[in-house]
Amino acid sequence: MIDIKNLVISTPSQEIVHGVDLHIDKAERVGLIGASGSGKSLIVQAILGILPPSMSVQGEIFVNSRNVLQMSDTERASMRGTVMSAVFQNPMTALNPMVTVEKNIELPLKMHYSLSRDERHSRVEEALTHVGLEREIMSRYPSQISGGQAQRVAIAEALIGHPQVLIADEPTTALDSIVQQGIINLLVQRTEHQGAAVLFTSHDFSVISRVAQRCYVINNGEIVEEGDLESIINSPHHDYTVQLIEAARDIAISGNDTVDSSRGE
Amino acid sequence: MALIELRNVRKVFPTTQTPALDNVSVTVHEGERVAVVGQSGSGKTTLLNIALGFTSATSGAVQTADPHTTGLVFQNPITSLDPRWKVCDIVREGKSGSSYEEVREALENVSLDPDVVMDRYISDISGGQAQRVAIARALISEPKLLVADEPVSAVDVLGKQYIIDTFQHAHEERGLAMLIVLHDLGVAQKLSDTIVVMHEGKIVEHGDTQQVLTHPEHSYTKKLIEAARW
Repeated sequence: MIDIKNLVISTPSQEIVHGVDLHIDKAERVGLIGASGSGKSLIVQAILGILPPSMSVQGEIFVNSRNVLQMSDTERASMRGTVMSAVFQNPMTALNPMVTVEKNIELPLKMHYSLSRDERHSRVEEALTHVGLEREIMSRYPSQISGGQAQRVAIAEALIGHPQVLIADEPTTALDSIVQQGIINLLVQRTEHQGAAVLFTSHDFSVISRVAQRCYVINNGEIVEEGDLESIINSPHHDYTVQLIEAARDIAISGNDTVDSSRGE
Repeated sequence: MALIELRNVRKVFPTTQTPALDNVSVTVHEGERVAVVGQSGSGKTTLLNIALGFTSATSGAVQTADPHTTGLVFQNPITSLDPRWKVCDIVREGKSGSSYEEVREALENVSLDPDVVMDRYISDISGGQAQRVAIARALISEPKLLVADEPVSAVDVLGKQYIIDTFQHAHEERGLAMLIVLHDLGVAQKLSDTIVVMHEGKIVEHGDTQQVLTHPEHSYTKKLIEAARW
């Protein structure tokens, strides 16, 4: 589905991402994990073709066997929403504040499909149900809903055009813990239902472990470890991976800490 | 002695009917670490603003924190630090007349290398580093109490660890008391002796942190614990 080969991203003064290889199969959920500044978001931006103009990029990014780095802006735009979609960290800045929730969600349908207004309306209604939101929210503006609701709206918009891959760049970091859990469950459930692949970035192994089947660990612009999620968590090879796992474990509440939680452990 | 005391506090904002805080009582004693946990909109930040005297209570008794002996840290370091100042000047602001050596030490205490960051601007360092600068500014005057609103939620896991270590160290070394607002119970477990669980403006559970985490009574507390698990 996505095949990245020897990706190098640089500013005019220095190289930031150093020869990254990354592969995502059809309908596979892949994690990209690293601390702030490790280069995760730049890789995401390179795939989507939205890197800042000051950045230069080399290497190859194949999406469905076509190199997106050699496409025109128009060609790339035709892929967004249908072949690939994205959700970002801050849903409030990802939605258009000047139009209603309905207008935000229907945008990919307007751009890529010739549907009547009524058809679009009923598709948006359906999409809202899928992300667990009430129909009444359609006529509200992004500023009139909560952060968690806004992220659900962003997911509805990202998935309404049935993309083959959803790229989620730290989509839960700005949300509180209970809302985070709901968003993660929703992402996994909806992409599984639609048969879409996922690239999910995070700094937190406890979050990645709820989403990804396989993951890449990135440190200072280099992939330092790659593999099946379970085996990386159980037997990490690189010191940096160990550090990330320990930090996440240290902060999380482990199964043995509570005797009568709702899960009954 | 209590550093902060709120008794039966109620807060109703003019634009809404439902109270933002309803019959809330919280005390922070010297050397005590209190975590206030709950989701967005539960009333945590309103409680903090009343405890600091930034907002007044609609009814109830309030002993606010003494600004001379209280350090403050907010969620977003980028908006709480002056972009036109160098790191060393930002930290120095926390204690007027502080020496060059004191500023260096305050930065070392938050695991930042003074030689690297002293002369930088906030735009030249990461969000996690900026939050540590904000903490260095809050702690340079060795306050009795630290009041912090979600100090680690905008920071990655490695940055969180540094900050948790700094707070734990200051508590163990000099008995720093804390009132910290958090949504993550995993972090609360590390940083508090007493926990206050808030839901829709009310305290639903209040007690010894370990006791509450191992024997939660309220279903909402159980949900928060579940969300912080790995």
